[in-house]
Amino acid sequence: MLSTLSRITSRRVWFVPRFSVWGSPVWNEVDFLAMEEVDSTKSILYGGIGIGESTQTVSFADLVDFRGNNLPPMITNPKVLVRARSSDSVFIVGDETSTEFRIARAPDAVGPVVVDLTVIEMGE
Amino acid sequence: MFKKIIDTTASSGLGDPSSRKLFKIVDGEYAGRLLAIIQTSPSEIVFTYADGPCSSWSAPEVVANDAANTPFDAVMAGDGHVWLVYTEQSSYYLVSRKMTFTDGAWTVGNKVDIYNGSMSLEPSVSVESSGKLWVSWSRLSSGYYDIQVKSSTDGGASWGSGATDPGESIAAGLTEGYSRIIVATSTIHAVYSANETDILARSKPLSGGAWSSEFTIGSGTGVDHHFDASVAEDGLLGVIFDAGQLRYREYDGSNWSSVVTLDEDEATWPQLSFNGNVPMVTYLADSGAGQQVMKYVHRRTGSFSAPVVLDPRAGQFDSAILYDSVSATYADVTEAARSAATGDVYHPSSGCLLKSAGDTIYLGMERRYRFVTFCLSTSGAGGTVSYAYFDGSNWKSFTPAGSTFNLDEAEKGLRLWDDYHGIPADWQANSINGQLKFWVRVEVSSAFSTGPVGSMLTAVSNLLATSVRR
Repeated sequence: MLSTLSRITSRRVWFVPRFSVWGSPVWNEVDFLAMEEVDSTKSILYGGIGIGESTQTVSFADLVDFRGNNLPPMITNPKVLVRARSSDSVFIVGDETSTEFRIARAPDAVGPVVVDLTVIEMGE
Repeated sequence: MFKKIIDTTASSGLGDPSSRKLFKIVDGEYAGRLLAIIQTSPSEIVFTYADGPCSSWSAPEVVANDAANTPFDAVMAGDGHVWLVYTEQSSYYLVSRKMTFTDGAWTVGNKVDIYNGSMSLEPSVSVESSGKLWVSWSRLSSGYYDIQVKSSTDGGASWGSGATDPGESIAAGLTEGYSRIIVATSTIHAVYSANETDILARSKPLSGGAWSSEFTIGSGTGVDHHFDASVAEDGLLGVIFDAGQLRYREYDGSNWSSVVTLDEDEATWPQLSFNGNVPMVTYLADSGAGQQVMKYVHRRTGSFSAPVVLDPRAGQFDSAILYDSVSATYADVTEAARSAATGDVYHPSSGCLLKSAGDTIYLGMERRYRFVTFCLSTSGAGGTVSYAYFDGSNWKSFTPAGSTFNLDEAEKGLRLWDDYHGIPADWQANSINGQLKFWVRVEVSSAFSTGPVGSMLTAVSNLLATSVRR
C-alpha cells in the first residue's frame, strides 16, 4: 500500500532538451565477403559484424532540465524516453539504474545525434 | 551474419588480398546500399547489391564475360560510379569498364584498353576526389615483371597517352611482383611486393612531380600478394604484410614508424581499414587441422589489441559433450574438441565418439551456428546418425544442407544450414548436462561396427579468401 508521501514523490518527470548522444552500440561495423569451399564447391558469402561497444553512460546528476535545474543524483525506478529531433535513431542500452543509464545512437549516424529526453521516476 | 550470395568456379573469385570487391553508397537516397563485384567463372565477373540488413541480394548482372581467370580490382567514387580493371581473357591485356550509378542501379559501360603491349596482371585501381583515376599492375616483360602505373583524367575513357603507352615503370625485373595504388590527401602511393622477399613503397605528389626513391617497408621469406595498404582520414598510410608473421607499419608523410608485429603466426588475406584514424586489420589464421578462421586486431586504445576471432559463431565450440548410452554417462570433451591433438576426442566408456544406438554428440554454442568441421583420427564404419536441434519443446530432426554425414570420412566440413539466414528461427537453447546452449544433437540411429574417434570438432568453415569493405 502506498503512503501519501510515496504517492507524492513517485512519478516525477523531468524534460531534458537538446541532449547530445555520441555513444554507439558498436565501435566498428565490418562488412566483408568470404569465399568458402565445401565439398569442392566454392561459395561467396556476405558477412556483417559489429565489433566493440562504445556506449555513453549518463549520470542523472549531470542532466539539466528545461528550467535549468540539475536532476537529482538518485531516481527510484527511472525510465528514460527519447524524443527524436532528426531521422537518426537513438536508443537506451540495457536497463536504467537509480543513478545512471546508457544511451547510443544508430551505427549509421554520421556524428553525435541531438535528442530530447524525458526522465520518469516510476517510484516504488 | 553470413548470407550466401553465389557460387564461383573462378580460381580467384575475390581477387587479391589488397583488392576491393565490396562497396557502400555513403549518402543520398540509396545510402547504405552495398555493392559486391565477384568473379563467378573463369571468364565472368558479375555485380550484385543489397540494402540493409543484406539478407537479400539482387540477381547477379554481368560486368564482363571476357575476363581472364586472374585477379581483378575495382574502385567506387563518392558519387557511386565504379571502375572495374581486369585482364582480358583472349589477349591478357589490361582493360577497364565503368559502371555508371543512376537511380540506385549500375549500368555497365564499354570496355576500354588500358594497355595492350604485353601480358598485364594483378591490377590495382584508385580514384582521386577530383575523379582522376590511377591504376598499377604487373607487366610481363622478357620473363620478368615490371610494376607499371598509369592514370586517366577523363573518367576512364582513355588512359595515359593511349593503349600502347605502358605508363611509368616504378619497379622492373622482378621474378614476382604485386602492387597496390592508393590515393591519399595530397599524395599517390604505390606499395608493392617484390621477388617474394620485400615489401616496398614509392610516392609522389598528386600535383605532379617525380616518384620518390624506393623505400623498403619490410622483408622476409614469402612476402607475396598477402599484403594491403590503406589511408586514414588524416592521410596516414598504413601497410600490413605477411612475412611468416603479420606485420604493420605506417607513414605520416615524412617518416615511417617501426615495424609492429600483430600476430606471431602466419596470416593470409590481411586487410587494413581505418575507422577514422584507428587502424583495424582482418586476416585468415590457421586454427588447427588446416582450418582458416577470420581474426581481427585494432589500435583503438593506443596499442594493437590481441587477435580475436571476428565471428565467434564460426570458431571453436563453447561446449562439446558425448553421451554413452551403454553406461548412461556424459563426458565433456570441449577442450579435446578444440585442440588438433590426434585421436583425443572420445567417450572414456566406449573409447570412441559414437558406437551404440543412442550414443550422442552434443555440439553447443552461446548463439546459433551453421557449420561443423569433423576431423577424425578413425573414421566410423557401419553406422548411421541423425541430426536434430531443440525447438523449444522437442528435438527436431533435420537433414543438414550438406547432407547427412555418418562420420565415415577422416575430414568433413558440414554445412548444417547454407548461411545464418537459413538457421531455423525456432531453434532454442536448452540444457544438456547442466549447460544451457544452442545444441546440435548427432545421435546414432544404427550402431557402428567401427566407432569414429575424433581429433578436432569446430564450427570453423573452410575459408579460402576474404574481402573486407574499406
